[in-house]
Amino acid sequence: MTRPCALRGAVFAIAKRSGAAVLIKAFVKVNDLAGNFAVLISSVLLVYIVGHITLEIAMRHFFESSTFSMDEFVGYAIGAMTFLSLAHTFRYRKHIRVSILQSFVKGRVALAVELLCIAFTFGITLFLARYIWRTLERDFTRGTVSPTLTETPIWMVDAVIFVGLVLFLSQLLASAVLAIRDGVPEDEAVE
Amino acid sequence: QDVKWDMANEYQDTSIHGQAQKVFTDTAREASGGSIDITNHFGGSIGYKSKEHFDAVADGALPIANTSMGQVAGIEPMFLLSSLPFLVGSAEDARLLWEVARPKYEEVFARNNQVLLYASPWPPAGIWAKKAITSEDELAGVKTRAWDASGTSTLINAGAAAIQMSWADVVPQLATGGIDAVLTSAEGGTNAKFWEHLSHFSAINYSMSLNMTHVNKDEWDALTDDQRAALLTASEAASDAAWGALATRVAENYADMEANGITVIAEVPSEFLGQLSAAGEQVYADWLEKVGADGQAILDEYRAQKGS
Amino acid sequence: MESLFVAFVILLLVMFFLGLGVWVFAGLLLVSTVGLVFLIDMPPDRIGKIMSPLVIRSATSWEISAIPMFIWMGEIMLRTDMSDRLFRGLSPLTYHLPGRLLHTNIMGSALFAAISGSSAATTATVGKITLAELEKRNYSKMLAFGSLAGAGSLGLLIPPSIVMIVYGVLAEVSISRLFAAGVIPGLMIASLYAGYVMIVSLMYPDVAPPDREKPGLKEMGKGLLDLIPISVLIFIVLGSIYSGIATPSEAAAVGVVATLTMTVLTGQMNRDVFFGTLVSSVQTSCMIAAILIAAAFLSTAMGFLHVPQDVANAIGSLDLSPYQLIFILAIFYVLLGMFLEGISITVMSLPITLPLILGAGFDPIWFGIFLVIMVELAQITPPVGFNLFIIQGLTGTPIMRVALAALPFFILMCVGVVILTLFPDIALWLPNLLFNS
Ligand code: NA
Ligand code: NA
Repeated sequence: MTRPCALRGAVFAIAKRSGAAVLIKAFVKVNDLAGNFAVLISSVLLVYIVGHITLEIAMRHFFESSTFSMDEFVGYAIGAMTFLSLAHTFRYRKHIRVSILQSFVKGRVALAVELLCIAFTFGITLFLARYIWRTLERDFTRGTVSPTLTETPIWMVDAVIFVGLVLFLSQLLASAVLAIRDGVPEDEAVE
Repeated sequence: QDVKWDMANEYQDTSIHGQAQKVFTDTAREASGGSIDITNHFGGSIGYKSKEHFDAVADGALPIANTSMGQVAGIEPMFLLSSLPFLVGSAEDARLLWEVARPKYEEVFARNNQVLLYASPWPPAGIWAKKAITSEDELAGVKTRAWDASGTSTLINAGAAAIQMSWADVVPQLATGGIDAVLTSAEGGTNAKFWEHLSHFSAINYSMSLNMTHVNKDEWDALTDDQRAALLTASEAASDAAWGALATRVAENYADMEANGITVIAEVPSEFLGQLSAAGEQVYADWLEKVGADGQAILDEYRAQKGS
Repeated sequence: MESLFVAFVILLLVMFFLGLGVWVFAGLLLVSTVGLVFLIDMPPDRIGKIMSPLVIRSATSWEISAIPMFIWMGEIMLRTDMSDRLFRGLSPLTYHLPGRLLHTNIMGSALFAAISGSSAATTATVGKITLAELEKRNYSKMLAFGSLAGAGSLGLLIPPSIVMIVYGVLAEVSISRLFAAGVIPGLMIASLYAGYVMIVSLMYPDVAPPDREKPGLKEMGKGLLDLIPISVLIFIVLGSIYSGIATPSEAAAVGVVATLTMTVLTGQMNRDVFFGTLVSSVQTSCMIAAILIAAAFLSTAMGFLHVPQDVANAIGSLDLSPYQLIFILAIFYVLLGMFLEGISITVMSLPITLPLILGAGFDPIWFGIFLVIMVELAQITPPVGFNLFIIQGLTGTPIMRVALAALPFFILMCVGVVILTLFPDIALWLPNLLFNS
């Protein structure tokens, strides 16, 4: 964005006066660190998924046995991987959107549209997180386990998903702040 | 007032549970003079699987559901009862066990803000394989797919190489020799055309687990007396349809299977059955540890009534 | 009439939220929630109680585990010489065909499709290899983009295929049979594309300018050698499925292990290859899985809105002949495919369409192939088309221009559907040969 933007100027002025610029920087930084850490865990989980399936194939083929947990644990890992990487994937603009409107609007309008999109996304994610928390609470207090040989406590899965959503919510805030400070970023290539 | 409910069922409308559910919803509509309109969602088409039904009905997210109870045993261990191995040998046994345990089931549902309406049975599970499985020797080392934890652990104790895998993988694995046998009902194997890959069915009557239809308590309380009466009439009709269909269903399946070259071994030697039961002891011990005296009381009562 | 109104409101909501630029996964959750509140007055509290367990369930389902693994495999191929070899191997072989290197898109996609189950992975990988090379040599952009968009979607039709696994689970048909059934239709559509490229190149030689010497026998041989790594991969992945060592859903793990092993054996493994590919695979999988989860919830919302029942009743009451039914369904799927992505289309529509199809006497295996082609069409129709997004991302070309480039290939795929409907044995011959002994 080349055109100066009144809203951005105003926010900046307030931010500078109150020393909030440092706070904003710190907030963005904390989000980056948390996102990087979470995506690292996601990567480890992907390696784990390949490992567990390979182990299962080997046990079935060579030892006529099984890990008795493949579908289940790989499922948990996939869910955890997805939610833990939501924030990082958003930070690097890899989530898909239909950017038809985005290619027409510039400057303040573009910023307004971007903030509106972030607000909608934040709203529905907050809504989801609130009810995931409810499920988590119930599964924890009741001690629900999976109906399988492993009898895994289900609240653990709920908890990882909840953490991923919280990280994502925080990243949305950081992205909104960044959009106001630096302008609306370009969408990255989808791969 | 008019009631419009969505009813979830993970299984197809052609299954025993699906057929009975149609009787249930049709009778409910008729007996209530059209004031109860229940839309059936078969085949998991509304997005729920049995595992989620119990909490969904408790929450009122779903007003009513038809649920495979073994799937929710992780929430309430009592629900494992009907999937325990070698507890019931026949439809009469299964029905007796259901009647003996019904008050306990109702109590558990009530504690979870729900009302139990009726139960429908799965046809008895046996072993589909490439050979007759009538002794521990013949079962030894056979790669067998089981559908739940109890089945897996029982089969392992009996000497089979039991494997738990998703239903989607079963036919490809049979086709390519990844597994040699499947523990399931005559009906399950018939629907999946197991005769393309297997040759024998040994009716070991592993278990006849139950599906139950349960309704949210708040929805239930909001009904008029007439509507509740209509639902009870419908439940009775559905229950009769399901239990009545069991015998004919199994006979039809056997005829189908024999026409397709499957050797059906309807009578399995009692010595083998004894060995299999022994292999399932661990499952009982684990279960009794979780449900305590309540479970033992039901088993005692069931055995007493069965013996007399 | 009521279901028409419901469909119209949902369409408006999709256009509003997605058109505004809300990220697709959040947009679909919003459409579902707002739709349920607005259309049947469902209390938000109940919607939340429905959403939470279903999101957890669909996020943790074993069926989607193959996606990140196939993507990881493609990423590794991109960062090693395996992808270059694919291009180098194919280019001397295409010299004598009118259209020359344009065929690398089609052949490359068909080859990569044989080891990858995802169309996104196929398009991204092949596109990264070919598009820059084609531009350097002044090939027609329209044909380059279009053939990639069209052929990239073959990742779904040529086995292994994630959509086929999902269909097999839902429709209770054998996944092995589905895989076998996809092979010949996949090759047929690839041939249609190749034929079209040849005809256009003969009519307008400028689209594929001559750029090099005629390759000698030695170069041809060298090209074939370059195709060895990918052939070995195909052999290992398919071999593991058809020998019974791995289930189709596990084969992706075999593919990853084989690719990693090959990378180590050829001395190309390093930290950057390993971790770099991991992180970008996680990002891509996250993007896809998030949409799948939201789409699953949208399909539950449609269930509560009784859309499936109403549409089924509407179509059922028309008393259509089998061919008319297929025609109506094709239109229904193309419309659905403009807004939704493959797996959600499959999950949402099957309860509506499968009973109709079986009732009309169609083979469920054949319908699986029909459905997969419908899903492939959805990959290249705007405004939501995954392959279009990917090419937009690779080249910076606006999505509508990419869609225009893909239009001829869209039409060719429709021609493929017509042929498949008239001659169902194109799909059914191979599975019957392999599995009816
Ligand atoms: Na493929
Ligand atoms: Na589309």
